[in-house]
Amino acid sequence: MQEFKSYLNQLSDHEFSEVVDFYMEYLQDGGFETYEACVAELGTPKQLARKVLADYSIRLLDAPEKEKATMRSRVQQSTTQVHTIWLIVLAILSTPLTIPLGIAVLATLFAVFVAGAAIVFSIVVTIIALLFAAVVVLGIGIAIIGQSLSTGLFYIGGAIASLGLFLICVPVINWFIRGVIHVTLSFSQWLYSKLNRKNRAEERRDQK
Amino acid sequence: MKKTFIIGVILLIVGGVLLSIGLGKGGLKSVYWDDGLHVDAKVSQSKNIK
Repeated sequence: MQEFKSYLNQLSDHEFSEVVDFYMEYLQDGGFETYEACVAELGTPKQLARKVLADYSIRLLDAPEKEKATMRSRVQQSTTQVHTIWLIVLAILSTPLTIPLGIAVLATLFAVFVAGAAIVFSIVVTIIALLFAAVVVLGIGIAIIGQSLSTGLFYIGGAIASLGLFLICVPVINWFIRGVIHVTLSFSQWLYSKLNRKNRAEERRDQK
Repeated sequence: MKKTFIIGVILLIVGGVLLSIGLGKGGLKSVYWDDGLHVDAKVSQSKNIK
């Protein structure tokens, strides 16, 4: 139990005590005295903790709008989503699986994350390259305007216009990156729901 | 976000105007580095061939 508690430091005080009380009560009621009996019932402390963390963060994201309003900004929301994806991955990794299925799941997960990361990375690199080019062209334009007014205006105008275009695109890019994160999250949530079975303790709670 | 968008539109318009003025005055020329930046200058030479 002590080990289980040490893995749950990310939960708020309220959630922490709720989870710990629930499992403590379950193990006492069921008469699981030894460590081995507890592991046989609920899995190792680490497995159980990862499952609990993933379940909690999914529940937090699925929570109605009212609770979502407490998450202040959109950036924070995206950060929470990425964090949830990570917790789900950890939970999936610690779920006992048969080997072929495990390999397939790992390969799929890996592919999805690499694809997601690659898309985000390529967008970021393109933006940096465009910005850099615009700044260089602006510098050239300013340097050359003394020699030829028309060429200087042409270069400066081009640079300013591309900076403007970039600023207009910022919301679109922002929306797109959030979309990629969201899709990755939905996918891992779906995968998690397929793989994750409720442990006996949770089944009993739901029956009540 | 809205502010960014408006600034973007203004920059695009200003840049577009400057670009078209430059283009209208025949400013579409390459710039080379030759001991400092220089605008590409076309030199025409004519020779009489006997």
